[in-house]
Amino acid sequence: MRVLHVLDALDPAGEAGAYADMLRHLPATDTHDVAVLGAAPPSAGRQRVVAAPTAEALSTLLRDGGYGITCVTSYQTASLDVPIVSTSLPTRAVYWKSYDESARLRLGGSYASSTDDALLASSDHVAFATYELASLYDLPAGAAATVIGLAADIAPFVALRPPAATDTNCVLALGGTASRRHVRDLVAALAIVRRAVPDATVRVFGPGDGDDASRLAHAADEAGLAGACAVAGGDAAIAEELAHARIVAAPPGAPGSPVPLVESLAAGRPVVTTDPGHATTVIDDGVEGFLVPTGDIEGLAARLTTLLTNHALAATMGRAGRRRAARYSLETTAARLAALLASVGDGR
Amino acid sequence: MTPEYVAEIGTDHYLTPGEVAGIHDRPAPAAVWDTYRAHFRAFTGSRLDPQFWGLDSPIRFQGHPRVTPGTTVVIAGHAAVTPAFCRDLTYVRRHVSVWSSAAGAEALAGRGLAADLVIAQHRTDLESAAHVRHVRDRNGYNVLGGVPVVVADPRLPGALLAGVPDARLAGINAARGWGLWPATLTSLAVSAGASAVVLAGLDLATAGGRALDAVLGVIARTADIPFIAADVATPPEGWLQARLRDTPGPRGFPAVEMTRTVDASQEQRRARLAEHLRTAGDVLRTAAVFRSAALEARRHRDSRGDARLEDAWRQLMAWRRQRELRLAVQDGLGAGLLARAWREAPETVRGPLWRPVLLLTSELVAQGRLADARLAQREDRLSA
Repeated sequence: MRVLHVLDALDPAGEAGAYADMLRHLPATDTHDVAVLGAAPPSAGRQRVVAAPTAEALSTLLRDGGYGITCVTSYQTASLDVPIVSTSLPTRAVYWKSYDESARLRLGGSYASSTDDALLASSDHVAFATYELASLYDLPAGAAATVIGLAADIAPFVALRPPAATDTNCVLALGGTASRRHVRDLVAALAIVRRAVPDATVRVFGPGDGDDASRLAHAADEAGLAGACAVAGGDAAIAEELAHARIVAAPPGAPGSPVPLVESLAAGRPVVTTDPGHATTVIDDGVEGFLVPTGDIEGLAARLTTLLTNHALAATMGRAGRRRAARYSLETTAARLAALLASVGDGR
Repeated sequence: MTPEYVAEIGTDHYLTPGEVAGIHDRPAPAAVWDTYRAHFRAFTGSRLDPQFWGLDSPIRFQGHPRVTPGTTVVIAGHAAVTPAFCRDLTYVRRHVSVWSSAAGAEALAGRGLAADLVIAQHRTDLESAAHVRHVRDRNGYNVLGGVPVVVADPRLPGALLAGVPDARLAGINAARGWGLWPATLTSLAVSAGASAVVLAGLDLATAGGRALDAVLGVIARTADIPFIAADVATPPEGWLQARLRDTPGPRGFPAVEMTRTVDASQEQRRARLAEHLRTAGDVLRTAAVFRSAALEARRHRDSRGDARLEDAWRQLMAWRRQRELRLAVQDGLGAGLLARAWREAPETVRGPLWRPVLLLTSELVAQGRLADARLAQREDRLSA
């Protein structure tokens, strides 16, 4: 079976990058080529990367490439290129619906696109990354869909040693500094946590600019927490940051991809999240971490304090997290994708 | 060729250069049309409003910026707002007019620099929705609220313009820059009477890639003034390379003035959408039938429905020949997939026909329903 995977310009840290990573784990018995639209393609492991900078080039590739299945992976690619691709598609079509921008905005409840819906409707099969995503889309009668699971490269995180009793009480806060609500809640919660854990600190990881960082520093100063809040920024390596953290706090606000949560779980760090709707995809309350209603600062602080003071509970949750994360490893998800592609290829 | 003429091509109202000639008594210059075809696949999407945000837009006037003769307009992006960039911009600030995007204005404001004019424009509804989320993340803080002049694409969600005083807000035609904000500002600067246009702090590849390069090249042909891409390794065609620090201009802060003309009222926009819906009424009903046939063909996984689908495909493509219908589908209903297929789909479909028929009709039918619902919502609000 020959499969062509159509990706946006590969971004190692983005959805396309995670997808490309997963492709490395597909069985070697089939041929998996990757067509990258929009930019010069970097290496994608042992897959053959076929340059297709334009829709016309992609169309030619589909016509002459002898492919049996085409996997389209991004709404942004698809919405611009699918009309021509769709009319030149002698193959079966699978739409991989993960946490692209369109899906994340739809999860936030403020956006839906009938273009996106049409793309899903006209695929032979839709592979959703999670049940959460699948529940968002109404497919027409006769459409086939499967929940494949998230794809996360957990190997670097599994390799991290669990927190030791002597480690510092650092909370790694995901989500960056861009959300003011996130920053405000974090600072307020930390002030409460430090009543019981005086050396507790927060390190913020993720996107945000210099202004946002100064705002955090200012808010920390005002709360008497000077030096207790720091910004790692979005360019830092999350594995390195996790290595120095005891627990992880995930932010409220608009949902992003749950992959950083999976990476935290794989690192054996329990997660306290104030965005329960989104996080329930990968976390059960009280098992791999805690879910706290958005805006419940006292609750957030209480859960963080519990995990910073009860090391045995944190370790138990850390182990549970590692087991949970294994469900989303590249190997596991690639095996599910391979099974799906085989069934689609057989016309099932 | 004027910026207005380039804008006319960017409206996506024409399928061929001949059609432009038939309406405007002059054909689109071959090079412009070639650029439109090669880099935009003859569809910029600059008038698509799939969310129907334009219906509730707070914009009441169309704006036409004017600058004092001799003014250099610096179009500043947010990609390279480094200390060095800010030093250079501060150095020239007294003798240039600084125009920027919302993200650019936010980055500049963080460095103590203010833009004179800010554009609020996104290429797609997806980008607009992401901008709304960005503002919400900042507890509603919106840099546009404090800017002297805001020019905005009428298709923006109202939430993005909520804090902008009416006196400082004007609508613009997003087709001027073929949907890409740096090109729109360049085109506006030319029409405003700028003596030079400088792009700075802009990552051309991120802002729009080769398509942006191409349209900037087209706009540079519309005026005999220097177009300068500051501190850019490979400037677009017709643009010069120079340092931002060397930007010329007379001393004294140049002012931006806005001539405003009354835009369509919300009531008129509603009436226009209702008219588009009437124009497309038969087509929407037919598309629903085609969609059912496509779904049935897919369910049965055989070729029994193919004759019907062949007719459906021919009909879908034939609709492109009706100009009024085309405009109703694109400008009215915001259905981009069919609009793109009209430009680039082959006559003969390879692969199962149900797929493109289902794809195109699904979006079209959904947009028709959404348009109906939006109009009904407004009726409800008015009667309440």
